[in-house]
Amino acid sequence: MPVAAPSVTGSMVPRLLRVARVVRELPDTVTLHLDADPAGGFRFAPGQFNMLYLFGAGEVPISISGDPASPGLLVHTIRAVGAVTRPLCDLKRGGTLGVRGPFGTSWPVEGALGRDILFVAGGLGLAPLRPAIAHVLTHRADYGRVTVLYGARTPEDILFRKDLTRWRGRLDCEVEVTVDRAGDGFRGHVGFVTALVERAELDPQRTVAMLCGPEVMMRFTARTLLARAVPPSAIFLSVERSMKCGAGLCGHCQLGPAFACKDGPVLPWSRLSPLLAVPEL
Amino acid sequence: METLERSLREHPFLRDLPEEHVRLLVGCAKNTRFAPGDLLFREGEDEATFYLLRTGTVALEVHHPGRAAHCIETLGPGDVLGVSWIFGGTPGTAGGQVPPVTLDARARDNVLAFSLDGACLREKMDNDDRLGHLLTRRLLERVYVRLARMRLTALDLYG
Repeated sequence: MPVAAPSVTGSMVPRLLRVARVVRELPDTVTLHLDADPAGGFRFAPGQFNMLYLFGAGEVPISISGDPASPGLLVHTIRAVGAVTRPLCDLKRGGTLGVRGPFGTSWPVEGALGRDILFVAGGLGLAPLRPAIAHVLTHRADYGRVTVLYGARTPEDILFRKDLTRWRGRLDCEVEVTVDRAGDGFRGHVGFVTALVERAELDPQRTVAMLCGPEVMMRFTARTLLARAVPPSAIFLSVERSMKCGAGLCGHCQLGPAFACKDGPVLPWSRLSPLLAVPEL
Repeated sequence: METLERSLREHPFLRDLPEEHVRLLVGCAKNTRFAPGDLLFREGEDEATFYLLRTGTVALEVHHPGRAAHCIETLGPGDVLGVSWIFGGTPGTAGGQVPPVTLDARARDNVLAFSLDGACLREKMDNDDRLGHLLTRRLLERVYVRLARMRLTALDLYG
């Protein structure tokens, strides 16, 4: 007797979208602006991701890095690290790729209304947070203090430099950037991003923290926030695991009882903490 | 003195320290300002001062001949600077030598700090075991956190 396939979130058939613009952010990182208007626009929640299919190369999960208020353009920021992401980064204007999604959970921007928002990003982790930052700044009056803390490897590796400058220039948003290593002439902070978290002005009971970056960075950042009395249920992380289907069917991204693609990628520390403590997961 | 005592008590390193202990520290402390580029201490010196940073940024640097200094880390408001003063007057574990300062500390911008005389502080700690215990514990905590951060930096996680 045939078994009915489980229902899935998002389409299992890729939509063909055309590249409208390519921005080279860093030597190995590009942002693709895909024209979603012919497909009727692309609505998503901040923190969700898509499966991007480059025909002949393969499919990879990539977080959406654009503004959710602009559904006509679907924006993805990609680092060239593998067999699929390398040719994705070589795409030119007019090129096409397949898009499945959006998948996964989102940053709790609606649940955090009226609260102070602390964004902590490391490296490419600023990309999945960018839609949430855009949303919060668009609806600025709905939130308390807004702080963006960002860590990068070197000054040359700072992502979205123009955005960081623009956000800092608003005066209603605290922005601090630190780098692990700096050459001559750099006048900013040097040190790991947790140093910024230790020094940040925050009211622990009013704060909702959203963290994205390498998992080790997020673990230590979460612990720094806990030491500052931010409740575990108010700390959210975006986890990354090897994903294939994007819809909780294949099990590649299983994290104990949770699937990173379906139950995540955004999960609270209160749920993730025992899972991330198991090295085998 | 009363103002200095109140200000000292507000620094994160001394927050919640018993009042009588903060009063003891006032005699060792003074307000210090540094202009951009000023050195708080230099590699190789005997570290005689303990700094509690209030405003501004201090870069910990290693200098190279013929090149600009290499910044290891920056410290800011709430941080402490200078550790080896605590070893003065006692034999160290490495052949009795007290370790000298291992980095340059340079003000990046206008820096305001409490500077506490190391010898004075050490004497107060030696004469009051409870104060000695509390300050050593707080200092060790700061060193531990900084060490953990340096380890994370060494991992080069963002690659």
